Amino acid sequence: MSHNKITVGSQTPDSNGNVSVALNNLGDVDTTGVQANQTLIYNGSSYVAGNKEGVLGVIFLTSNNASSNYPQTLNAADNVYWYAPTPINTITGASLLDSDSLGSNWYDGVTLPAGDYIIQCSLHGDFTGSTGQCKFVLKAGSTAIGCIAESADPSNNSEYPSDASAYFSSGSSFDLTADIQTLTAANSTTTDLQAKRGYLYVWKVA
Amino acid sequence: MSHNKITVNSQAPTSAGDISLSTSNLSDVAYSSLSSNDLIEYNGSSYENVSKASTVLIAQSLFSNNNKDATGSGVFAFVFTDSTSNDNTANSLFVDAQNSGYGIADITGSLATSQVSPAGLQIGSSGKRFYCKYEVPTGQYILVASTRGFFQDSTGNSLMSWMDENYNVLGNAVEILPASGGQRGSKKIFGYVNTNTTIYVHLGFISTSKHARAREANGTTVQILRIGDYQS
Repeated sequence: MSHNKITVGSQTPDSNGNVSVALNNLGDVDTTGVQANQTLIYNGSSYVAGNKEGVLGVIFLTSNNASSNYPQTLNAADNVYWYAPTPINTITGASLLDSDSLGSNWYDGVTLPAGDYIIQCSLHGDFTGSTGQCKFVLKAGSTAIGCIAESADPSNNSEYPSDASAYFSSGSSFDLTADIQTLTAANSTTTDLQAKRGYLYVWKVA
Repeated sequence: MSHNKITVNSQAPTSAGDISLSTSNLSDVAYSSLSSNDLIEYNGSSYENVSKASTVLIAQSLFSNNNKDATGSGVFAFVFTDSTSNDNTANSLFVDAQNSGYGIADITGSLATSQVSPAGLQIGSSGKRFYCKYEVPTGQYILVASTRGFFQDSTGNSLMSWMDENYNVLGNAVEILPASGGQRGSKKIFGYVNTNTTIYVHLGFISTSKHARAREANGTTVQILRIGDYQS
């Protein structure tokens, strides 16, 4: 074999004997599909193109102002439901929950993979009068997390509506819901208030 | 010199004559405890592996906040109107972040140069930061806002949401009421946008009544967090 049979990374020498080797010619690099501003990330066996900047995963259950009446009368035995005809879910391994099998784009939580999460949600309930109020709390499985939140009838001047917020870190998959704790004067005639104004927002931050 | 004496970065040719190189064979690369999701990063003299988790997660953000109630002259956190009446008819919440005692802008990344004011808006002197409409380059963004309203009387109300320039709603709707009309509790307004082109977003009105274009600054904030590249 003569010296001009020599190749480097399968690249042959030119007429001057020079071998030009690019990054993608290296044995542990695959730059297929690389785009501007991307970097190389080790995938366990080789380096592939990817984004240096991290990505937050999100779940956003809200309705974009679509109309749909709350699917059941508020009950202390139930979870809060959110209406999301076009749910946003960019968290790999997450899935939406409908514990009461109500369907019609109503969901009462999500199953989340292990990770760290910032979670926020609201409820806009239907009540029969000025004593109406509903307190609820986010739960990871059966464990309450974050602050107690409240929905109140607009004419209720002794209660203070607030959203629920929580930070939760879990080493394993868990079901996230908002459990109704106390309830007064729930109205069996429901409106689209929750569909238009309620939301569940989950940010996977680590 | 025979061919079998040739090496490249100490890598000898195979029997077929090929010299296989890996990044770790390069003279300016040194790895330490290489593991999945590590990146190659230049440390000033050579390339080394770093954990992706150590990189900045949110590289671009914009916070424009009002932090003071104001009366008299000046413009602070009021609702944009295209009419001269005191009754708001149009479209965006207007946030003062002029860093002069009435508000502040905290900005990272390129979003600082993207603020846009609507045509025809009459605002104070130049050089101040008045935000109403935000240019959002390609990517995924979390949108957060809160505000109070200032109304002509107790019957006023506004239904607000994040919107794009075509008034498509990007999140939940929030009702803003006067204090005498039941205004209590949290008023978070959330949005999310995933765009492969540059768009404009603003905090706009689904409906509004008697929302005066006056000053009401406490608690007004607009937050835009870039959380990743566009996801197809």
